[in-house]
Amino acid sequence: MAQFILRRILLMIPTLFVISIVAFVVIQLPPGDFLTSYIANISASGEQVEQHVIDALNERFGLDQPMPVQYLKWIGNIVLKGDFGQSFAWRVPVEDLIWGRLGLTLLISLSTLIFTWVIAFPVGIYSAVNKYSLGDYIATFFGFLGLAIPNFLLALILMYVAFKYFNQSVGGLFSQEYIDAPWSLAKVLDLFSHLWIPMVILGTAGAASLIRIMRANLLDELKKPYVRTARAKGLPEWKVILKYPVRVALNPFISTAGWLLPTLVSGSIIVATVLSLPTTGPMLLSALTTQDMYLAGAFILLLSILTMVGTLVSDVLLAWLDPRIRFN
Amino acid sequence: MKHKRISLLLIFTMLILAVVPFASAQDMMYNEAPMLAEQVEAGDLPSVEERLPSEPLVVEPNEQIGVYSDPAWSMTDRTWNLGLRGTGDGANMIRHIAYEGLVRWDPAWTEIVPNVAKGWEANEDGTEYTFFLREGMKWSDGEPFTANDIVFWYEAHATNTEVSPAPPNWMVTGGETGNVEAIDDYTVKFSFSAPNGLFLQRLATPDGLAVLQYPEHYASQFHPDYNPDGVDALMEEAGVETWVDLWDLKVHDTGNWTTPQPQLWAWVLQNGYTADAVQVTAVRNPYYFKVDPDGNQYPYIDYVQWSVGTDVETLVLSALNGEIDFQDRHIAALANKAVFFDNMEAGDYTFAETIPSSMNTTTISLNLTHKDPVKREIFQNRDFRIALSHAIDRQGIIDLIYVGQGEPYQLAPRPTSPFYNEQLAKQYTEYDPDLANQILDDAGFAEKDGDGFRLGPDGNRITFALDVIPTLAPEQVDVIELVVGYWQAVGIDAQMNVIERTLFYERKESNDHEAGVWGGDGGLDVVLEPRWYFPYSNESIFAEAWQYWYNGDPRGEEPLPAAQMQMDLYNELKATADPEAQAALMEEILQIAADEFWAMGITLPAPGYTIKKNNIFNTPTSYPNAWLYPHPGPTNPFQYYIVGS
Repeated sequence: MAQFILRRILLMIPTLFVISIVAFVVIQLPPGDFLTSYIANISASGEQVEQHVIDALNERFGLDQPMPVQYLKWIGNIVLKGDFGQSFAWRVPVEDLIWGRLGLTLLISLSTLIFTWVIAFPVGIYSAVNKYSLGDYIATFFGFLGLAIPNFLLALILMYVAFKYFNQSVGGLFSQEYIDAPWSLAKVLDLFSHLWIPMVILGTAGAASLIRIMRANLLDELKKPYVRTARAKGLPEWKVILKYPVRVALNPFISTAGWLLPTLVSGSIIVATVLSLPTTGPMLLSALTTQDMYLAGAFILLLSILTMVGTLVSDVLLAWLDPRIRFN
Repeated sequence: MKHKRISLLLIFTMLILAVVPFASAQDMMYNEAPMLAEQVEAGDLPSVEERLPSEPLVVEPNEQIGVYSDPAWSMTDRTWNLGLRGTGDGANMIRHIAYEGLVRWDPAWTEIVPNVAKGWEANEDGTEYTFFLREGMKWSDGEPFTANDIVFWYEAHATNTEVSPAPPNWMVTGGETGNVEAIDDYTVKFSFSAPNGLFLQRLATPDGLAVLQYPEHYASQFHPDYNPDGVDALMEEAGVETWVDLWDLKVHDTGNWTTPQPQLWAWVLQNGYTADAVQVTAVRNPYYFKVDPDGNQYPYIDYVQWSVGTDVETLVLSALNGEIDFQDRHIAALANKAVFFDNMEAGDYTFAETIPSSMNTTTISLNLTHKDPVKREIFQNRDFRIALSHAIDRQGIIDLIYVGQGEPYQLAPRPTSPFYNEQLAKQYTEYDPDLANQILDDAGFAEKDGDGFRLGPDGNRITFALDVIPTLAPEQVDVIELVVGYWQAVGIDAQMNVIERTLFYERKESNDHEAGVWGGDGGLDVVLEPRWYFPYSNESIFAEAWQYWYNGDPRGEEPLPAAQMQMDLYNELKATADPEAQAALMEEILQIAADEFWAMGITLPAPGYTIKKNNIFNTPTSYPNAWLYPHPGPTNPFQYYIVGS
């Protein structure tokens, strides 16, 4: 097992290297560079930048150098100094920007995950066990609805309803008076009073698809002879279902659990933008649209690392959960 | 005996010192905001008389003397609430709090009035400008502001080739950078080797703000010439690699707002506009140098606060909710007007009018200097452009797309501008496809191919793409779609090419565009922004190669004689200090533009609107919307006041 993990970790290094090249090239593929998009952005709002300012920035950011040179400079600093470069738009080190927003992002992602699982597992099991009952139909209906509505649309509708009928604006994670306040019990409570909105919005689609997967997997298992045997042996019904078929039905969750890691960082980009959440998603989006390449590059590297680590973790978990996989 | 002389002198000096403040105090009793009075009482702040310069600038309020924010009110009522976009919105600050230059525009945008400088003198040929500063004026941290701070900007920033590879172009005349010197603490002189006729105007635009952004006592610590031993440690602390990065981070140019620093503004930032900021707050500057006629120190409102919305729609919702006091930026789109109107009562706001400085919703520029000699020949044919202009049904476009608002218009100063030229504005705007066909036939494009499209001089079909940006003004795409239809109806195979704006800029930069679509800048700021009247800047997309020539770029090509004539006239204008002579020259340039018809426009933009809460007063009811007049900055936001509870 240890050897397996070690081999996988070693394999990650060349993969990462290739990803870094691809990421760097892809970020630069759109026409222009940060300055072109900066100038275009400024001119579009009727403002102007003087040519001497543009020249100064061009030289400072090293944008006039050929791409391989820029890449080597970038990757060299990362490998040798752990320096991810500077964000053009904010003129501060990239690390500061990402770490500053990671805390709240993790909070939202984790609470969404918990929300999703708390909803999806019981409902999924219920609708599999009571197939074609009224409850199953209701769960299925809402499941499909949740799958069909794009998250950002749900966010927009919720914002509109909140504005129209409750006369309050949804957006952000804190009320105005707490934004700059130091942490206190009141601020935490205020945070939770705002947190449920993104949690519900982001959780619906996830929960809906989990319910469907859980139901389908469990239905496959419930038909199998070992379930009948267990029942015949007189095991209590909850034990019959939870102990064996549910465990087997969990396999697909575990194997995709690894993919949750990257969504902790990138997830919910559009929803977070719509809701003005101070998370990493909107920052990644704006870094990509403004071609703030070191910031975007750092994000993409981070996402790739998380994806790889996530895949590894889910492989390990799967092996631990299912002995059949372990022996292969 | 000697002793006696000294003591006499001493007494005399003391007398003067005693009399001078007394005299000014007699002239005027100064009042201050309750918020500051509390701090003075607690001993944290000197008295208002000590904080104000000896001659504060007295500014008439827009309607009446206002009331100060009361510390007993809610924070919302003590605050001018605004919205800020997530990235790249520093101009929002310039417009709302940072418009404090040596001189400023008056609110009506008709003349230049004193601001930080209490007065100025210019010599006749416009080579020397002397500004008189206010004695006893202070930065927001209480340190004195003197002529040395301006010299510091010049030496440490503007002419330091590490931070500014080139000096600001308005400091350069005849290829040489002007000079700045402090005559004494309160007199500063700008001198140039050749006349700099537009110098005062440029100082009144946002370009001129940089001059006052470099407090020497604060900024010098980040500069190796002034603090050779300390800069490394500061770089380490800030996590940046070069001193230029440090300078950029810690000292404002007008593009960077991450670190609060001493300022001369009415409100100064409390926290920076950084990537993490969910809101940005500015608080009143206790040392602000302006008072109202009753001697009340401005500003009336305690705080300015921006909530940061990553998405513009979030800002629109805030405004609908009545959470924005006075703002048009980002939210006042034509598409939002109906919903804002419906919600007026619930949101407790009304509209103020903005007059766009733009003179056209859509400008269409055929690239007169295109690389392909055939296209160039066709586009440079003035009759070809005239025919295309006649082929457009502008009234139809106005009715369909601009809900009936606006009037057919070419690229010309707005009707309210003193430079209005009817020929330039109205020529060739009648919709007459028969006439268009006639002109095209006569101009040598009579032959058509099998699909009914006209052929060029090389025997191939005339076809070209109109580059249009969907995110700039979304309705431009609809307009161009119609225009393409009108042109195809007269046998010109025009196509629409919808592209992202970075690609647009790249095509323009490399002179690859066949035709480009943009807005109509320069409708009121005619002299300072003549990009549509002759090949003036890289935004003059109808003739990139010519403007390169004008601006000394090696990619340039010699322009047509008429364009060269305009360039000569504009150079002459820049070298003229007399405003009347300048106006006459500008009119000449515009007349040539009218005769040459470089590029065409569609419609004159209708007035815009601003959201104004019902409890904020002294705000303008109608004011220009422009960048060179960075609205609402010149309408004196420091005299706005809110009646709260």
